[in-house]
Amino acid sequence: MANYDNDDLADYDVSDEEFNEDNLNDEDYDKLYRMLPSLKSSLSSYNNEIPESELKETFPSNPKSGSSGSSKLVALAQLRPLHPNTNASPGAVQTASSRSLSSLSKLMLARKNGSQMSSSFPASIPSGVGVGVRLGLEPGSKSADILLKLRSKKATGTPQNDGISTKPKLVLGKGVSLGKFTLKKPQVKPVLTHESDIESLTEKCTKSSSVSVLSPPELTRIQSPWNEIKTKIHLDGSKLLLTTNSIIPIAPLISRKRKSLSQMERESQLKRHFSQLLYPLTNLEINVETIAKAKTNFSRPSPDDKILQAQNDVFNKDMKNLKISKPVEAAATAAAGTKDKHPPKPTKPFKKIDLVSELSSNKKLTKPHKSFVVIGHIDAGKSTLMGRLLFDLGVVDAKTVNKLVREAEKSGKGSFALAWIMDQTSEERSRGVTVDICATSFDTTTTRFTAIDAPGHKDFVPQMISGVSQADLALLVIDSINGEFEAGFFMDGQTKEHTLLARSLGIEKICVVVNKMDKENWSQDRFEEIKTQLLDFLTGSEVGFSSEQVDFVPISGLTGVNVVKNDHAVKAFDWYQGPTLVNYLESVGLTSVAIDKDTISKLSEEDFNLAINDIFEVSSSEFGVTGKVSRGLIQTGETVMVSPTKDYLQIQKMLIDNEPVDVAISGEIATMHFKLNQLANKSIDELVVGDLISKVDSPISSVKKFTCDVDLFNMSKPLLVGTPFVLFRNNRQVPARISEIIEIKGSKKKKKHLVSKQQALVVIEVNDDRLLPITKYSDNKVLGRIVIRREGSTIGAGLVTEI
Amino acid sequence: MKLIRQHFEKDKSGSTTLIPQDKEDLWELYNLIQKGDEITLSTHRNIKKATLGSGVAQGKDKGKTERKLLTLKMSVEDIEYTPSEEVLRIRGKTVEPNEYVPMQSYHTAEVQLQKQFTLYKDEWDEIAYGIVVKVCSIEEKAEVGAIVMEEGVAHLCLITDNMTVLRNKIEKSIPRKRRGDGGGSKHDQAMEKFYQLVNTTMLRNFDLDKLKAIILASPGFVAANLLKHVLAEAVKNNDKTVMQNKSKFIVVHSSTGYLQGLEESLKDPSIQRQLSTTKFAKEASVFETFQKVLNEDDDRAWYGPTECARAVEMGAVKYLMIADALFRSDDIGVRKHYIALADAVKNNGGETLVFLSLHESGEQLNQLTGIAVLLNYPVPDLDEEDD
Ligand SMILES: Nc1nc2c(ncn2[C@@H]2O[C@H](COP(=O)(O)OP(=O)(O)OP(=O)(O)O)[C@@H](O)[C@H]2O)c(=O)[nH]1
Ligand SMILES: [Mg+2]
Repeated sequence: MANYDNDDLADYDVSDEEFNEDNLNDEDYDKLYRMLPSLKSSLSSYNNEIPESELKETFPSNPKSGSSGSSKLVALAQLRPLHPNTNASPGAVQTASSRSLSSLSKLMLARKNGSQMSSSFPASIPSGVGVGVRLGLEPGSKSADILLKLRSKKATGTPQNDGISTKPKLVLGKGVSLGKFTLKKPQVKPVLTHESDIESLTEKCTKSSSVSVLSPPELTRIQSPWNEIKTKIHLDGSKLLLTTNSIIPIAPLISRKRKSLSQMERESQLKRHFSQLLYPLTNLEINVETIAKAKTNFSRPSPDDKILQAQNDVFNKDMKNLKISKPVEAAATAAAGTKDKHPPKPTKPFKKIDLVSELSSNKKLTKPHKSFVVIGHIDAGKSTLMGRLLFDLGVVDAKTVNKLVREAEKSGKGSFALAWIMDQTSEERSRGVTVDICATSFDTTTTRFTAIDAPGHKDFVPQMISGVSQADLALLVIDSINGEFEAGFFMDGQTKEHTLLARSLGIEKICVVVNKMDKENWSQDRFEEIKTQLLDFLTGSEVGFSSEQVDFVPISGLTGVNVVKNDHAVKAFDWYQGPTLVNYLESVGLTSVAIDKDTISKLSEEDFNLAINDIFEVSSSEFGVTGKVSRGLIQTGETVMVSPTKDYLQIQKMLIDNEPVDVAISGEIATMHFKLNQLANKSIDELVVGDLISKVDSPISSVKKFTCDVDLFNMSKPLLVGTPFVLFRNNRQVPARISEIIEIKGSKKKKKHLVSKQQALVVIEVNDDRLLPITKYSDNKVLGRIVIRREGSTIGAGLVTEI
Repeated sequence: MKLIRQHFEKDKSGSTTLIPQDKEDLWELYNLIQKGDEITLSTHRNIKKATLGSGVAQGKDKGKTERKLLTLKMSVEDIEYTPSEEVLRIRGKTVEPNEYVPMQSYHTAEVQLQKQFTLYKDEWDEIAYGIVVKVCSIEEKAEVGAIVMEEGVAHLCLITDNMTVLRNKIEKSIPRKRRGDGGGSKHDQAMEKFYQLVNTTMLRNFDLDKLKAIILASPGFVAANLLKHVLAEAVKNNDKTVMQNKSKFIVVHSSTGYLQGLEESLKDPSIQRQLSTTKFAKEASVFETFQKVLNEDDDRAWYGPTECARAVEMGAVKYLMIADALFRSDDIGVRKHYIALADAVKNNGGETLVFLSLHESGEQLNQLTGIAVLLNYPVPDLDEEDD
């Protein structure tokens, strides 16, 4: 631990962040020491050399811990009901430590603790520039291990129960007779606790509830209709009793006629209420038609109400006073009603060009184009690899890199200099984590590339998915350092999830880039070891790539060896005879690259589709969108339609790789400029990432429900009809749920839930006030695919069969 | 809810006079008031000044009208509840003559917060009565504010024991970063604007003094950054309310900025401890366990009316989970059936949990037929057809 260099010290955010147990208040101090032994013992089997100080740092109330500041600590301390002893069991330890630390802040913590060793900076970067290199096996990474361990424990473990405990359980006393409806004072009854985790949870709940109500027990006198006896209701703050059990005690039921709504009607009413309840008051402007339409949906107001309502509407523009009985449909039909009636006539391209000669003579378009996304577990070196590629190919010059190195070193993140070429936002730079995708394009002599850097952290998988949706090929970056590969692969790391996603979203080829080989001394054994394991996994039943779809290239992104060039200067790397990464990228065969007469005529007949992946203002009167063309072709001057908003826009200008073009074809990532005033609400906030663009005469349907074949992965709990999840269609994400299970493959039983590894035909319902534009898989192999994520894990994928 | 008076006859008919205090009370009343009940409440009506019978030929707005506060007694025909509006709308036929309103005429009137009304029932059964007992007993209801967000999307919600209400949804398009000098600046600016928008919307809609806590949930750093922004703005504007309630903000993790992220963050034990009741926590955790067991497929978790009734009969039930919608059934037979099931479970040492439809787990249970059981031991083939 003594060999901190300057880099480390700078990396260690000084200010008030340093953990010092003396700064804890008494309560937390006590708790820390109560927790410590159990934490130690629970980790001892895993790694018993963890310094105590690092264990302490994982203590959740530690003011240093990322997102939760000390103000939060105060908040917790104030609001948390004090209940002694509950924190004594190891179960409590893990619950507590998972409490306020998001896994991301754990990572930050681990990073801050990480000690680094400086290494001589690779020769290919201007000398005089030092970049620290992080060493995964230094003590610092142990704390990451602890955290990983804790995290995985959180995922699978259940709160432990320390044997038999007495549990105050509020139940109705035996005095509740069946004959009379008499509520008696609830008794506190000790109950033996066995195995289950519910029990221990309940126990905590009950305990905290009995303390959390501060006001003294209250006596309420309420007359009972049955026996005219004044019943005492004793409140121990036990709403549990009152809310739950007040319904359960049984008294004789005297049947009685009641002309009433059927149960079904009530239920459907209830459902309606539920959707009303969650009806969002958006900040988007709603036009007059929408309101008018919505008003027609009012249910039977009396004449008086109509007048009242009209007055309301005039004086009160606040949406919350509008009653919209079926908000989603109302908004949708209103939107459709206003814009749908007369789709404009298609407009002619600005320039009349002969497509065949244009496409076969345009230098840009004749060079094959490939787009790839860089994926993999957090810190595998994805952004660094991208930076290296751009630098060594001369896309980014030495001056820029020098500047970044200086800036990075100044903020103590020297080793991230190359990553900063892609990591542009202040957030990403200060945290050293990629948050969003970043696309960039470059040329080699033979090929045009679009490269997309994706984030590795679990929280940013949605962004990573939108990156994958723009690519034909994926580079899966693996940290080869002993222990790191394993962490990303076996624990709940992202190596597996990213791979599954790439496969489910239709990536054609995957190249495993075994990175940081400099740290493994370019060992062939290590490379082969990783290759064997990953090949097994990638071609196994879970993922299902064929072995022709998978390739392996060993590199070091930081030093640059075997990225753009391999000068065979590294002796230990002599064993490798394969291509450099760039050679591989140039030569890899993809289905979509060659352009000839046939493809051109095929493309002009296809419907044109583009999925919006970025929306931005160009000037006060113009805006732009960028996205990948998934089918067909389009020319500047043509009018396109946006789904689901049904905005009709004429393309003012088109760019590919930042250069103006007249035509864009399938496979290209194109930017289009439009006039802002052609948008119905004149605001780009009306569009979202994932909206689809088509030609006026071949509109894309937008739906609330569709049928699809789903394939479920491993899940910790079943997928129920009605369970909310996040649905990804290519780069669009939207909350959704299964509304019906039509058929479970290999089972005749009618079920309302699906379990791991099942395949089923289901109806999926979108839970958003905006419709989802989508196509059948048979119509578009890109836009007809879906992926399902729940509570931060990918649990299934599917193909759209019916819309 | 404030109980003003009650009167019951020997045959269990009778009346109760109440004043609802908040939207939860309205929700309970929605469960309490049923078709066929009679209700007395005050409502504003527009009364034609000349109450002579010749109003037909006049234009709609020509006849001069006057607004009057009337007290009507109506027989209830239909009840509608819209949580976001905080009103309970009752449609019915008048059953008592009134100076301005004829008998047997149809009206829609609202049960409003802080306004007294009287409800008459032919029979106050123990469910109806139980509701009154319950709502008049809860002394303090805590409301928690929550903002679930991710880059460009934020949902502002209010959570009480019985329900989660979405107050506002904010959407802002955030441009992606670019490579090259200052490539992140447009993104950073847009995010700054976004935080500002969320902050002002929050201050407009959340009564920080009243709320018990404000949960900020997001993936990544969004929630933490929002808090930074909120506090920085408060210092800048010398906003005492925010400064005084600073400690009520809690940043937690969720995997998404959609509403389901809220459910996820509510499962966080630190948050559960702060919600006023443990009821929700218990239901949610039992339901979690139920789902895990269902996934293991070892015949200890079942759902469906027939399956559950069989399991109850066998005395195998540890937890019976019933959606409140089933208890709310107007069919007395149905209510009776489920009450009997609950009773049987209790006699066998099990426990019954009633799920509120206005929380996610209740909504989930509704989708699973509304009834489910977790058994003490596996019982296979509960779903086999009888011959
Ligand atoms: N020794 C060594 N270190 C590397 C290499 N490639 C990357 N690193 C280091 O690994 C750390 C993480 O690199 P990043 O490029 O930010 O990793 P990332 O995969 O982009 O991370 P996220 O985007 O946050 O998931 C940095 O400190 C890099 O210097 C390599 O080839 N050798
Ligand atoms: Mg990165």
